[in-house]
Amino acid sequence: MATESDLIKQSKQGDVQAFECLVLQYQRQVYSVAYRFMGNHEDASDLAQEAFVRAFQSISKFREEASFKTWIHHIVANVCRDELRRRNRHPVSSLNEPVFMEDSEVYRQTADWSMAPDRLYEHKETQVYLHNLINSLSPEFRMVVVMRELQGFSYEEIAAIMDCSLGTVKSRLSRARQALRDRIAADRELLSDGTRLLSRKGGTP
Amino acid sequence: MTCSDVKDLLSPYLDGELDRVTQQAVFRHLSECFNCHNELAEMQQLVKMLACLEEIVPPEDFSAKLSCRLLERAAAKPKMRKRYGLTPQSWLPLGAAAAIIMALAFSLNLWPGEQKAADAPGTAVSPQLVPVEKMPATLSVDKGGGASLKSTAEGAGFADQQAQIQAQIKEAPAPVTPAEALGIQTVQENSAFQARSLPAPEEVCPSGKLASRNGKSAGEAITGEYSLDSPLVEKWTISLSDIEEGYRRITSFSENINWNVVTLAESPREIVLCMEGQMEGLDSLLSFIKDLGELEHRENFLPQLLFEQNNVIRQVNEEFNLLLKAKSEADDLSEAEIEAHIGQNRYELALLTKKAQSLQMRTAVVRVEAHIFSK
Repeated sequence: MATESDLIKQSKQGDVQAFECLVLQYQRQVYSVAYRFMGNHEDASDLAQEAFVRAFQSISKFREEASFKTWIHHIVANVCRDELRRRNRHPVSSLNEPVFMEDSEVYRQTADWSMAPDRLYEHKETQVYLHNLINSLSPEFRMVVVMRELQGFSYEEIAAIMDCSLGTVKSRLSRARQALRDRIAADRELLSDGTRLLSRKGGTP
Repeated sequence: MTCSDVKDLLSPYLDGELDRVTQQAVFRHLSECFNCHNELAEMQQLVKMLACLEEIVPPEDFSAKLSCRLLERAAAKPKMRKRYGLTPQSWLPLGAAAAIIMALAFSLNLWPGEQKAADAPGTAVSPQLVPVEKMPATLSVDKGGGASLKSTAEGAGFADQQAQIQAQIKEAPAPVTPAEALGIQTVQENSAFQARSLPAPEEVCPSGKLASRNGKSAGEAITGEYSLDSPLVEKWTISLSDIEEGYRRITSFSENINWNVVTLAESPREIVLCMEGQMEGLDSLLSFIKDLGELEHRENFLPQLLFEQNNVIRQVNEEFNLLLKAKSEADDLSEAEIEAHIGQNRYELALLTKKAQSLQMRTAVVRVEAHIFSK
């Protein structure tokens, strides 16, 4: 069985099959991240693929100072960032993608509350609820949240990817977290039995 | 430290991103303030919940689609590398140039009646002149690493016009014969701005479009250089019945026209005439020649130029996309290089704007190489 480092070596020589072995190992992670960034499966599929294609294209430049995992996570974050910002500049549909106003609005749109906490009896529904929660953030905030909470990037890494200062990362993450926390608190309050959400998930780390 | 101060610090506190003093101050406040402590707990729960979000299984066709794209890329890779080596940015000035020249050529009524291209729909484009001052917009490269010729030009409404022109050219029957096509290549090959911005033909991609554009030898079809300093070349073939008489008329005409006679040679059966002057005089020279004899063949610089420039525009768009890709996936094109490249564009653009203006003002220098023979 070839090790990851072998596979990387072979990929550097243009071996598509070797690279596909790497893809197999990381496609779930990469796809999931893309899905959280973009909010839907269609875009996630496209951009996760794009991330892998770019990785393959530039793997010769991958110096293996960081792990392949870290590297591919950076690439998918970059790809999604580009796409989200591109859409921001050229809104595809003004109805579905309200123009994001720099730092003025944390929320891009109201979340889809068809999966409101009153129905969160099932684990799966909690997942959907959280996904919608993230997806309701405006892109710049969502990106920070996904990179920090899901990808586990440091503030420095996020600042580099977002091309902004550490202070901006700090304040955006803070505002996004507060907004999410407030949203959950409001939903919980709205429903007498809403505490389930937090007690079920958060209570058991 | 007030509660509202602390509220904004909870997030970095959670991540250990505060300096020691602030961290301790927040800690002290939290130990005394129930509300803030509660908020912190909720935020911690949120973070945990998000971290617990499960991985998603990609759709079934994910691997297959990706596989296709990877294979495609693997196949395209060597070619792309070569083309990067070509420095795609070297094409940018050409693209801008092409756009200007094309727009101008169409905006000017430079085709006298019997010119082949005159019947082609391509010439039917409204003779609306593209304001030269708008041109730099087509070259603005944004910080993100540049945008395509098309997208940057959109704002100026120039791309539309350009696209329209291109579309019409495509619809038009090819205005050139194969023989002229050879000439086209030489227009390209000898163009001064190409020589400046491109490596020698043999360094250029050894196969594919570029090679076919540059690889062929100039042969006999050299029509002259196209640059600020060199004239645009027209080749005429004229037949007439009386060489003697023709020679006399040419001599007297050449004295009255504000053009220089570069060569005027006569033999019993033919005259070789080469004249140079500003484009302004071209029409009167042409009507003189038509009066003198039969204009059997005319190789005009414009259709050739346009045909080639059209190709170049297509190339540039292609190269530009490659450049964008290269830029977005790697850092080998540094800011400095992009800057330098913008600088070069500006320089080329300045030259071409000048050239374009001279075309527009009809002050560009044209050389007519006429071969006159007796019927």
